[in-house]
Order: sequence, then structure tokens, then C-alpha cells
Amino acid sequence: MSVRVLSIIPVLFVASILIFVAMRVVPGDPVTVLAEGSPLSVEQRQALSHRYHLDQPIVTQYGLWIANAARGDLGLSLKSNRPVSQILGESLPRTLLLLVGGFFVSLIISIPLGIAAALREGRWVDQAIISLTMFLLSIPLFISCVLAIFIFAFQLGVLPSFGTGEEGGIGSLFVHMLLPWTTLGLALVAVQTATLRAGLVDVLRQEYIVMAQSRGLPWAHVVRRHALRSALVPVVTLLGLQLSYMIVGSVFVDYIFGLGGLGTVLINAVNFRDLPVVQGTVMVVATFFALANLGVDLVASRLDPRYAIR
Amino acid sequence: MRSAEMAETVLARPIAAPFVTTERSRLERALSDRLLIVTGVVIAVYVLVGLIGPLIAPQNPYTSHPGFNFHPPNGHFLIGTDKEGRDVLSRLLYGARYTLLGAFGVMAIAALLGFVYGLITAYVGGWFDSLSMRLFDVILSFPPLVLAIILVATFGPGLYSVIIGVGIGYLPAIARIIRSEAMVQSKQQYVAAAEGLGFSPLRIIFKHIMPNTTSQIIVQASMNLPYAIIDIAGLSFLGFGIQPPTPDWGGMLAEGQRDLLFAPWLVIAPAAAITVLVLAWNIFGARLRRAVDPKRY
Amino acid sequence: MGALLSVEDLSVDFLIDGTPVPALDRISFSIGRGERMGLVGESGSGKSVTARAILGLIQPPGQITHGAVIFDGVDLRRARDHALNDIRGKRIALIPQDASLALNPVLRVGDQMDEILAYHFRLPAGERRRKCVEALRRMGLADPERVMNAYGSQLSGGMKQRVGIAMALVCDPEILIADDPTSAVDVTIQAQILYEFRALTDRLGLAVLFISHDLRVVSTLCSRIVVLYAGQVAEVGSVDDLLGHPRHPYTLALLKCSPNVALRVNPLPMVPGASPDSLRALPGCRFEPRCPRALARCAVEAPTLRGNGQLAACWNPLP
Repeated sequence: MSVRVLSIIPVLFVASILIFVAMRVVPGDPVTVLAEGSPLSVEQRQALSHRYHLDQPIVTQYGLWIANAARGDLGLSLKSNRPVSQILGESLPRTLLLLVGGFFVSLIISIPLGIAAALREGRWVDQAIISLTMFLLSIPLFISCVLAIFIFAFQLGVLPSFGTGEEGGIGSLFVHMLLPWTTLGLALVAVQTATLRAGLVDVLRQEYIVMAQSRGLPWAHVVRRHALRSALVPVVTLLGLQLSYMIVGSVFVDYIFGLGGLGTVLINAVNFRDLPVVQGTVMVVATFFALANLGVDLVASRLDPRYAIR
Repeated sequence: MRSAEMAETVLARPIAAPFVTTERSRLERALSDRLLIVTGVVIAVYVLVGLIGPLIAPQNPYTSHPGFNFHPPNGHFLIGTDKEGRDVLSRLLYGARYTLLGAFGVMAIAALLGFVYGLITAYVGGWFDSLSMRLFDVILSFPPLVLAIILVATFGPGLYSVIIGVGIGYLPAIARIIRSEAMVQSKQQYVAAAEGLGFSPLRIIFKHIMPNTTSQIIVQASMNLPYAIIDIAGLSFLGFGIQPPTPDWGGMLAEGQRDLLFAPWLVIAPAAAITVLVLAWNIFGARLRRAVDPKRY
Repeated sequence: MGALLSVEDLSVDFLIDGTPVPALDRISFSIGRGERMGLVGESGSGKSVTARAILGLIQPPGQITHGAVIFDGVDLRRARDHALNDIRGKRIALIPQDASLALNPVLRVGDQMDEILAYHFRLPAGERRRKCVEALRRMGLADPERVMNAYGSQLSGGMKQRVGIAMALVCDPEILIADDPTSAVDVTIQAQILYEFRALTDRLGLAVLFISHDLRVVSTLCSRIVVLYAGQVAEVGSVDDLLGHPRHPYTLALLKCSPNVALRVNPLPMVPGASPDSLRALPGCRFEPRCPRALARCAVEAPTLRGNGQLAACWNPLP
């Protein structure tokens, strides 16, 4: 167990090296990027190069970077000259806001659907819900985002399509985040519904459910108190698994809705070849991802052998 | 584990009534499933379009028709035109091949290479295996999308960066599954027998162990293909894949998004194209697995 | 004295792969207040189905297709859910065959017992707890408090069985349906349970429908017996009548098969053949293939219950 936990460190280490090297292998060299296309004299080139340590051997560059990173200094953005850590500090909370909200929305939708499907197993409600989940599973996230914007922002004009709305207070925040949360949440609904449905169907077949009925307990009570309690456990396990999937999804939702979270930052940085920012963001995402996977491995293999990864 | 796998494992439970299998052959069961046939036909159509798209396109997808920009669908331009005045339908038909090419490219890397790698590392074991597993751990610490983004940031955008990036991203997961399957096989009697007979390791791996794992790789490849399609389209959407003016569904979506308000057909067409393909594939795969093995699926 | 519970022409079908398979075929019997009645049959005869059908617990693919279950003047089959829930647990109680399956593993015993009382009576929590403890103690459980706090998995088989019975009795029902409560338990516990059963029913005046495959056990406890074969009533009558002079050949066969330790018979008598495993609608008497007294008529025409006081469904009953 502890081996698994510790193994994350070398992994991230090697990952950081890979990113670093990859960034430096860039054909179009960073100096040109920095100069934003304008021609440079040789001295200007050298000065720029020196300033960003690009004239040092790559190992030294890496060493410098790691040393700084350990102190929380991830360098400066080539574009805005702001500290990368500051940029990340601003964008990370927005991403977290998106993730948490997305999770909530997914549960709000999937739990009633899962229960409805299980209670009417085999009947048309169940079939309809299963079909719906199949459909939700098939729509790529970026498409559902664009469609959502089209329908709700443009056609109906009820919801905004850009930004987090954080400037306007809680109400504005909520209104602005509603679409992003929903589109992200919908991406998770399919599997959650399926899991809850299956678990509930299993539980409802148990003898103790019939016996509870035989004692004259109302059906709603039996489902709520006897069945749901057991059936919800695998869904909780599932949430951990979905976290890593969510992180990727959030990049898209973030970017499309212009939320200013990690996704927006990353995409813009890549387009601009803003190396420090790309490095920093990718490291954060990778760390997030690795931690999420780790958490899932630990929890899932403890609780439910069905989801054990190995 | 991928969403579709999870959903399917979990959706496929035996129904309450005692399940009686009739004595029909797998082919009979498959052919009698209407949904299977329909989705199969849809997929075949897509593949066909991918192959002969350029031949049946009414216009040249690169040609702008000045004066006809943002023209809504009509008799001449069946799905309208985009901001350059290019025929959307033609672009759609041309674009099919890139989507399919991308998806198959990814599967070639992930499934084929993953297959071979998994087999070899399972049989060889030792330090090679350990090292490979650590390497996989590193790769797996990145979502495939991010890997592709890194490659794009390094080598520039383009179909190949994207295919290699996503392919490498999928490879470890598939290789791992093949590896565990192959390891089980390695311990079987027939492998020991083959070793005793002095067969070379390569022969044992590919002539003996491999055939027993092919069904698994087919399942893995078929289940991951829709995700490859989605990821490639997604990367093109972000501007990292195929570059305009080459028509590609993800890219068309990105372009269309900017002008969504007054030219919705620019978005709806590629969106529908991608979604229908993925949906058809998911349903087809699920039904096929059920026809082949009803008890399990 | 009218019957407390009257099953009239009850039929239950199960839909297997599209075709309806009859599990119960027009069975009828009645139980009076305070009467102890036994329901005897081999596995597959429809005993458990009867118990569930009475309480309206038949789930798809099963379905009650015909008949009525009259309890104290009310047809349970036509009753609304609300009325049915009022009767279940409170006035008719079910004791399951395997109590270990009947307890919810994630809830405490005490909570499961408490909710029964909570739903049927308006009693304060303390009062409810007292009644539960009392019910457990009456079943011979030495430390009821500990049992209340325990989860099902922490109790032994015998204890679980008693908990099951206690839960059935906690509301002081008028009739108890015991679905083979002793077969899943070892012999010593079995004897204990039977003893306590008799004591309880004697003292409380409960009516009992005791379902079992064991004619001996039933005969020690009950005053009347219904014999079920392949989903149909073969014979019904008082214990004395059935044991003394059975009329249906199957009843006789059952009697002969019940090992009586005092009698050393060699070889052990068996009923030749097997009970019909696919209960599809057969034209004649279901027992006919195995019956030593079969007539030509028996294969063609299904017999009806005939007789006086002691009824048998047979064209050629024993005299």
C-alpha cells in the first residue's frame, strides 16, 4: 500500500523531465516566440536567451526549474510576465469550482434516474433510461457544450455562455456556471445511472426486501431504508474513478465557456508556445490526475473488488 | 476503466426471469437483432464515405464561392456554406477520411503495438517487465489528451502529432490488459510444453500465446475506438489537429462555433456526423457482444 | 365460526420464456381462528408460493391469475396497497424459510424490529423498544439487548431463526404463516423451535399455517392438514383422518415414506417416479404417472376435491 503511494513521486519526477525536455525540443525556438516575431539582433537574442537560461545545458535548466518549483516559483509567463504560480493560483480555484459543481449536478440527475430505472426494471421507463444513458455516453463533451450554448444561450437566450460570472456575486456565478456544470455533469451521468441501477436491481432481488414488505412496511420506505443504503455504495466508489475523467473533461468545458480555469490557461499557453505556463499547468494537471488515480486505486480495491485495476 | 466498459459491465445483468437460451447460432442471433443490423449499416456507410468521399462530393471542399458565404442549406449547397463560401456537405464528406484515419491510426498504435508489447513483456518478465510497468505508470499519469497536447506543443499541430499522442496515451492501458491475459496463458501447460520442445520465445509468443488473446484485443480495440474518434475530434476542435483549410469534423466544429449564432448548420453538421458515428459504434459493439455471448452481456 | 383465512380457487402462474407455467392450480382451503393447519408437499409443490400469494408478495415473472384470498371478510387480492400493508405484519405475519436471508445485513436487528412497530402502532420509542426486547426474550434469546444491537451477520443460525419468529410475533398477529421454519436449521434447534411454537400458539391463540415437507413435524403441531402435489390440493382433512385413513394415494405414499425410527422397514419405501418438473398444464391427474391406483380416467380427466369433511382429489381414493 505504501509502495503504491510512494510510487507516485518518481512517476511525477520522470513526467516533469519528459515535459521539460519536450518543451525544449521545440523546432521553433522560444527566443523567436519571445520576440513575438519581430527580428532581433544577435545581442538581443543573446540577452533574451541568457535571461531565460536558454543558453545553459538542458540539465542545468531542468535543475534550476526543479529547484525553483520546489520553492513554489514556476517561472514567469512568456506572454504576460506574470508568475506562473500566480496564474495557476487564479485558475485552479475556477477549475475546482467547475469540478465540484459538475459532480453535484451529475448526482442530482443520475440518482433519480437510476432509482426510477431499477424500480421499473424491464419496463419501458427502464428501457428509455438505458437508451438515454447510451446516448449520453456517445456525445462527445465538446459537442454537448457547443450545443448547450446554442440552445440555451443563443436560441433561448436564458443563460450566459461565457465566463464564471464571479464578478457579479453568488447569483451571477450560479447563472454563469449552470451550463458548464450541467454539460460536465451529463458526461458522468451515464455510468453513474448504470451503476446505481444495477446495484439497486441486485439489492431489490434479495430475500430481505420481500420480508420487509411482508411486515407491512410501505414500499417507499423499504426502498429508501433497506435498498438504497446498500445500492449507493458502489456509486460513491465510482465518483473517485470518474475524477480523472472529469479533469480532462474540465479542460474542454473550461475552454469553450471561457471560464479562465486550468483548461483555458493551458490551451492558450500551448497556442502561444508559452513554455513556463505549459510546463506548470501540465505538471499540475498530471499531479492532480496521478493523485486521483492513486486515491481511486486505494479506495476501490479496498471497498469493491470489481473495480480493482490490476 | 473506460466509461463504456463500466457502463456495459454494470448494465448487463441477468434479468429476473429464468434465462433460457435457445439453440440458435451466434450468427442467427446477430442477424435477428435489428438494432445490430441498422447500426452496422450506419458504420459501413461511414467507412464507405471515408473511402470514396472525395468521389461523391458535389463540390470541391476547398473552393470558395464568393458571394455565397454563410448560405443556409438549399438546393445547391445541401448543408449550406461556411464563412469562406465553401460547401459544407463536400467538406463533411472529405473530412470523413481524416476522422477515420485518425481513429484507426490511434488504434493501430494503441491496439497493435499494445498487443505486441503486452505479449512480449508478459512472457519475458524480469527487469524488462518491471521497467515497462514503471514506464506505463508514467505515461498513465497523463490523460491521453494532455500527452497529445504536449506533443503538439513540441512538434506543432497536425494529424500525426495527434495520432501519436493519443495512441501512446491509450497504449499502456491496453498493453496492461493484454499482459495480464498473456501472463495467465504463460503459466498454462502448453507453454511449458512448447518451451520443453525448444521453441524459440518469439515463436511461443506469437504462435502459441497470441491466438489465445486475440479475442481480448478485439474487444479492447472495439471498445476504445469511439473514444479515439472523440479524442481526435476534440483535439482538432482545440486547433491542435488537422489544420484548416483541410476539412476535418473537429476543426469544422471549431470554426462553426464562432459563428454559431447565425449559421448553426456549420456546427450541427459535423456534430451530428461525429455523434451518430460514436453512437452507432457503441450500440453496435454492445449488441455484437450480446449476440456472441448472451449470458455475459 | 367463520374462517379467519380462506383461500379460494387460487392460481398462480410464472412466465418462463414467454409461456405461463402454473405453480398453483386452483387451490382452496380455509383456516379458522386459533386453528393450526399444516401445508405439506415436496419441493416444487407450490408451498412457498402459497405463502407469498396469500400475502400478495408474488413478484414478476409470477402472477396471481385467479382466485381470492379472504381474510376476515376482506379479499386481499383486491385490496389497495394501503389496506394490505395494514394487514401484513400486523395481522398476518410471515416467518421465512431461511431466516439468515431475511435479515438486512446492513441494518441492526433492533432497527428492523423497531420499524415494524413504528409503522403499525403509535407508540413512543421507549415502549417500542420494550416490546421488541420482550418479544426476543419470549423466543428464548438470553441477551435480547445485545441481539437488538447486533447486525444479522453476527448471530448464529438458530438465533436468526428466532429473531425472525420474534419479528413476526411482535405485533401480536392473528395468523402466522410459517414457511418451513425448521428445515434450514439443525435437528436440536428444530425441536426447540417446534416446542416454543406450540407453547406460543397455545398461549396466544394464534392461528398457524405451518408449511413443511415433513408430515411428521406437521402432524405433531397441527390439527388439520392440506396435502399439496404439483401445485394442486391432493387431500385436506383432520390429522387423525389423514394419518389414520388417508384417501389420496399420494398421502398414503407420503406416510409410508416418512421414516419412522421405530419401524425398521427394509428397503425404505419410496414413491416411484419423480414429481413433474415442468408443470405445464396436463390434462389429467398430475399424480397419475406415479400412482399405483391409477385408472384410465385419471390420465384424461383432472379430478376435483370430493368427500365429506375429509376431501381428496382422486377418482379412485382409498376406502
